[in-house]
Amino acid sequence: MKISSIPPVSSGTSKGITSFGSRLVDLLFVKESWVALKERRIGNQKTALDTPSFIGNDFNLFGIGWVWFFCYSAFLKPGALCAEYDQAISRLQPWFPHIALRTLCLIDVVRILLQIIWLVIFKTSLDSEKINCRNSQIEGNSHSPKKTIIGLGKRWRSFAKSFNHFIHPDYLNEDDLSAPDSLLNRLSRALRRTLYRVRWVFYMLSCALAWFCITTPFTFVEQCIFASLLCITALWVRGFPGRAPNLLLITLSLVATSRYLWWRCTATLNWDDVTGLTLGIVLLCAEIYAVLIMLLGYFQTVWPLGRTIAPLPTDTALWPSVDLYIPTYNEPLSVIKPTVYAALGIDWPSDRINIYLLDDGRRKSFEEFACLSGIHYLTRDSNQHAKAGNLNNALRITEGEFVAIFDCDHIPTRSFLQVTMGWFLKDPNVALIQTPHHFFSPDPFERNLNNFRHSPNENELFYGLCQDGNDLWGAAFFCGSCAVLRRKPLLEIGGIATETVTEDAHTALKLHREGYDSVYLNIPQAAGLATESLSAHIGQRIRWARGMTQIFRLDNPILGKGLSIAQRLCYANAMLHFLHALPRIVFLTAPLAFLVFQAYIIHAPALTIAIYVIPHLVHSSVANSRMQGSYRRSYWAEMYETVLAWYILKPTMMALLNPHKGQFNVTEKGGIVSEKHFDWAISKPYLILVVLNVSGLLFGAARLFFGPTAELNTLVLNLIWTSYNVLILGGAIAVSEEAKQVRQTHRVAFDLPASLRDENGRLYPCMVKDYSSGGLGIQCPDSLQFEKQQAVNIGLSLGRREFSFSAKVINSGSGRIGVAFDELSMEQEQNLIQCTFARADAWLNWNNDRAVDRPLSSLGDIFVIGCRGYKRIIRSFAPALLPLLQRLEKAVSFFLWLLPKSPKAYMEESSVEV
Amino acid sequence: MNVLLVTGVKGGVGVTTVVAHLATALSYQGKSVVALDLCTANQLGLLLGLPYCEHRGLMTQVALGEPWYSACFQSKAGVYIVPHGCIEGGPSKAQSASSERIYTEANDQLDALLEDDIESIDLPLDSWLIVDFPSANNLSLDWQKLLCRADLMIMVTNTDAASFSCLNRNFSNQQRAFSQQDIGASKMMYLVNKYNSSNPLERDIYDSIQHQLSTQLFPVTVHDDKNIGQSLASKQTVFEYAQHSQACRDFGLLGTWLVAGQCENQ
Repeated sequence: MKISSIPPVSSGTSKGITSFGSRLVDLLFVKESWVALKERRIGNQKTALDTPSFIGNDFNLFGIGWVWFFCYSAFLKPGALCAEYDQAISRLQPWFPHIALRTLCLIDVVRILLQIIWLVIFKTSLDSEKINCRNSQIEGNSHSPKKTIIGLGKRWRSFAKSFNHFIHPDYLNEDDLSAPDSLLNRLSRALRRTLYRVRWVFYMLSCALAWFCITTPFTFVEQCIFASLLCITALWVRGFPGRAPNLLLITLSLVATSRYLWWRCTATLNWDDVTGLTLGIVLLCAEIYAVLIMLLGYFQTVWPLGRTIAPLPTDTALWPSVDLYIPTYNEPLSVIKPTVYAALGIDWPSDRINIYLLDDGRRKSFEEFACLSGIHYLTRDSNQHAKAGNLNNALRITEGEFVAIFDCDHIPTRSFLQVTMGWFLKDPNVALIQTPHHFFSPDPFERNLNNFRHSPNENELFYGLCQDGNDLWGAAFFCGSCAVLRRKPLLEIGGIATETVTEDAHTALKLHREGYDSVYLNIPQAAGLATESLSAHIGQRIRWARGMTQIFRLDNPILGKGLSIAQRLCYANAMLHFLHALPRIVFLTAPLAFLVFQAYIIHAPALTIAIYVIPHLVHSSVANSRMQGSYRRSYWAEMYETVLAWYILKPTMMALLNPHKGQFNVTEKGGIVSEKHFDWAISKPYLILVVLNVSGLLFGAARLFFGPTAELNTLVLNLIWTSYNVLILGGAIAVSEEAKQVRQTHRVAFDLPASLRDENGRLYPCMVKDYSSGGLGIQCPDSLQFEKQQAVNIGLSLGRREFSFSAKVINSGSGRIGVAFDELSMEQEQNLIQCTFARADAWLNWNNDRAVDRPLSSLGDIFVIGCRGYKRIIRSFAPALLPLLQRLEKAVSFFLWLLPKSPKAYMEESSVEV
Repeated sequence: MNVLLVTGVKGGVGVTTVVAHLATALSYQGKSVVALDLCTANQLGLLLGLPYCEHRGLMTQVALGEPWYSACFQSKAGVYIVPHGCIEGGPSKAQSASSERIYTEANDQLDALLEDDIESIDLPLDSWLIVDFPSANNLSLDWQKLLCRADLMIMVTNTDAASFSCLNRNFSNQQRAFSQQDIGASKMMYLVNKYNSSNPLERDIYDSIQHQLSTQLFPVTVHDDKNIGQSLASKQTVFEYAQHSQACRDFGLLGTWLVAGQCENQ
């Protein structure tokens, strides 16, 4: 019902002001207009963010009256008023995404004002193209006064492009240095040779320049100017496409960091105060370690190789023979079955592939299963050297030219061998091809923080970036599974290494020492289960940390022979990285030295510290976010490390001192967390650290009021640092709350066309939306009705073949049904795995709809997670505080509700919902 | 005009169903389609919605000495239907005519249809003639012109043991028979009809047919969908009866595949 359709109720005789007044009164209080308003209100509320209930309805009455008065006096004519008002609102709405402009309440005035101020100051462009394509009614946006600024943005982007083009014309198209028309190749041959001969001159010049940049002492103001210039440059180039800006950002980060470290070493140690000096040196060592790892990280990931598939010869007679090993020790049969079924479906000439189940548990049921499914079964009398020994035993017995290794929970895709083997045939010196470990179940971080598939998981940095970066330097290493090895070199080095508990990396190291090459193909061609609980996850990482430290001691990559310098550095990074525990704990406790004990561990004025340390932090954050952002969100590394720090501290230190101690522990897979619970045992060390840090905060707060004013700046600096630590620790605690795992089998979201046959033999095409080994979620036409327990038949296709599985409907909604498979025969199970998990494209689009990393919003996420951890602590230790906490939460959410929102972010949000 | 001959490796594999639904699918894709029934069973009209008692058709009209298009009907979906006609139940004049004369006459009529192209019913150049063709085993040489003119011969088969044996036994015979009629192997495609993947035997037969025929097998398979039988019972094609069914999708895909192939040829 439209407002304009309300019949005029004016008395007819009165004119001018009186008439205006009476019409206003009529309009506001005539019953129909209220009804109409109410209808519109209900209709509109769905489109905007909900008004919190505590604002109350009374406000709304005032609010509506106010808006009507405003509009009425502005336009005077009720008929025109509605049209104009409607039009104006539909044009304005995109700029006020969080406010329902048609149904304002009084408090919205504040929100509108805030939004206007914010739009004027910060928001320079509404992504008009995006909005226009979605909502063609509001084309008016592009004619807004802000258009000039949008134009500026466009010009900026095109300039950025040309900048890259200037540096290297090929960066925009592909990262290929050998392209024939690159800038370097266009120079004359003689010039290029001359340049190459005198390159040392340039190196020397650069070094000299760097030396001046780093060591020249600046006054406070000078350092300020220097830092701002660096910072502006970094923020300027970080939006440019291509890889050249990465190099520039790394350089800037190096300058800022080196300058900071130089200043720390030369100007901040208090040689007069023994306590301060000792603690100061400890902190400095921790910082030097962190910087070292950062440098090695830059080196490792500076130019990921991004290797592609090498095609196999068309004549399949030339394809070599492969032994496929599936080692197992104590995993249940249900975990092994899918792997074996998928392995049976790998596309490779059947006379040249042999599948071996290597059972260290010597279980009868496994032998029977192997026999039934037609694979070989191998076992041995002892369990010496655990997995490595198991593999070596098999190496003695089998004789294929190549060995593919899959952990028993890693399900290979059918294309695994065809994708990987090409590199072996192309380059006879290649001894190892590794593919990423992909996980289709959430790891404990993802499950407990409920962000599965929203942001990159812990593994992705390593498999997405580090290994790819290693590959450039010829240092990609073996990760124990989803890899193929050439038998001959492997036997030359004495089989899989048994000296340490991380046999995989050590084997690769030995191969590299012998001069063999390794290849990393960043294409997920197998997927497995992530660890089920935080304790299991930590157990696994303890083993890795201990093993890598063992290799570092027993077969040091920096000192031993046979490696190139780059390989040494990459291996050093992989191993030293696991020594982060002690420095991390130092960082988590360092500010307490000042807050509690008044020790000046950094002997310098607070502002000077700030002006040196801030560039270091900003630049490393910008560079890392740019290079790693799509593989790990900013600041998440801190949380991962904090969770592990305490637990790997002892094993790594022990391994450093006595590398021969310690044994192999098997990572548990395929388990289930049956109830939501809090793992107090795991979180105890963090709780202690929290208590320390919070008491530090309290001390600091007390000194803020009662301490000497001269220390104020230092105090504030330390308080900020401690607050950050408290936040990260809160995150670590939030992770310890084990979320309940609802399903027995993991569902994988994937769009898969299928057909559905009902009891009467009628057949309907449908779309599988998610699958697991136990059932499917299916999208089907709305017109189809299914009842629970109704028997159906699902047809899935595999290439041109089709398989059919009988199932029962277990839940049914409009257009969506869930079905659970009936008892499947062995052959059917095999077909099911091959139609789903083992599809060649099963894992390729896993990360498609993921937003880019924004350091500040990532920090916000950390903040929210940290708060969740503290809420959990309060719920357990001080339940009396809960009401207070809830009130606080309400206040905060009210405050957030008031704050301006970005139209763009809102548009993205709504597009996700669509 | 694109001429498709549809026939079966043996009787009862669902040739008429394929013709009716393929014609409807093409019609829904905006093509002009003529569906011609040359089988004496005279079922095509029924499948496309003609009344049960309608006995007029090509043969009856020819016997009466009238042009073929006097027996041309149009279905709900816009398909032009030329039924075979039911001589037994038809007028006595038709019954008395000698069958030989009818065939000769009908052949001439078809030549006219194929050559001076359909002025009588005003069809565009890219229209389709889909012929429900008598099974290869009782192939009479009478339809030679039609065979020469055909763009594609679709052999319909099922995935049961009987069809499979017919397919195998007659494979070489058929190839020879049709190649004498200028229908090369490239002009002959096999279509699997009524495939039910939940039956292991059918799956095995399907796999071997695929292996045996490779590129001569349509990439589209028509599944065993009971919606087809039910739609006939309600005097509709499956496109009207159950538009979300697999049968609709299969025939739609088949139509798209044929249209795309035709575009490629041009």
